[in-house]
Amino acid sequence: MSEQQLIEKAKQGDRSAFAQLVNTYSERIYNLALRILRNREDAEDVLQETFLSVVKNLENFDGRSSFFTWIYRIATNASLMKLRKKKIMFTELPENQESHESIENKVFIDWSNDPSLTVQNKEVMELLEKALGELSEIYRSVFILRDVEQLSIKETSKILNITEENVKIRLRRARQFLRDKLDEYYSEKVSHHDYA
Amino acid sequence: MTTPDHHEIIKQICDYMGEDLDGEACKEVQEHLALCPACRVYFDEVKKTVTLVRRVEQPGEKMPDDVKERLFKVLDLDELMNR
Repeated sequence: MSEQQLIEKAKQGDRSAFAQLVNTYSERIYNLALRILRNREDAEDVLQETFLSVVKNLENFDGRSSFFTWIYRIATNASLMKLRKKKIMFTELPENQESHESIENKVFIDWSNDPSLTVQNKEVMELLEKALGELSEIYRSVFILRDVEQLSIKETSKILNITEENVKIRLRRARQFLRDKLDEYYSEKVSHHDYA
Repeated sequence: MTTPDHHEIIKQICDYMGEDLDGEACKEVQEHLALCPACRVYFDEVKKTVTLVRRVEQPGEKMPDDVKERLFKVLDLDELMNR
């Protein structure tokens, strides 16, 4: 049975069809929430809220966007709402971040091919997880949807209900922020090594 | 054609990675990257960063069985789990 047929049946109250939709999407939704919230309990709350909202609003789903986009929008909104309620202080990304440091005068240490920078390196993994947690929700959500979930700019803009231009700006800042964190880590590592 | 400055390129590098630039701007970035080692390094580092984060985050966790059980219970679908 196609997804469209499952949705139609679920709309008519077919619980078995709805259960199949839950089986199809629950793990993806759980992981999306976990990536945005970085906390398993909160991800489970969002998972439940998302599907309860689907039950409540399925009859209004008109198929103008795909079911995937629709359910991702519900889950992303629920995750962002939860994140905002926590009132965590995030790292502010300054408006002029785009202009960045003066590249002309900077001596670049090229670490892009350093074999020690892998996910097997516990320090690197922890650093990236921490850096993701420091990104405020508007940047984190775009980065997660576009660069981790690998959705298109268009899908990301639909899910977050922001313009494609806004997706690009936020994505750019998030990428620069994370790259700068790795650069700081690597520069420190190299300077310690030099003085050791 | 005017030569794009480094700051503009830095901006565009991050767009270029997602192939979000239109044809002409994309060509401009590629030409600049071929000639400017500093921007090339920056580009490679941004790319490496995204790759690393993706590897940290993907494929994600298998949803624990108890989480799934509670979800189906909340939705009053207990008997339909795994069917």
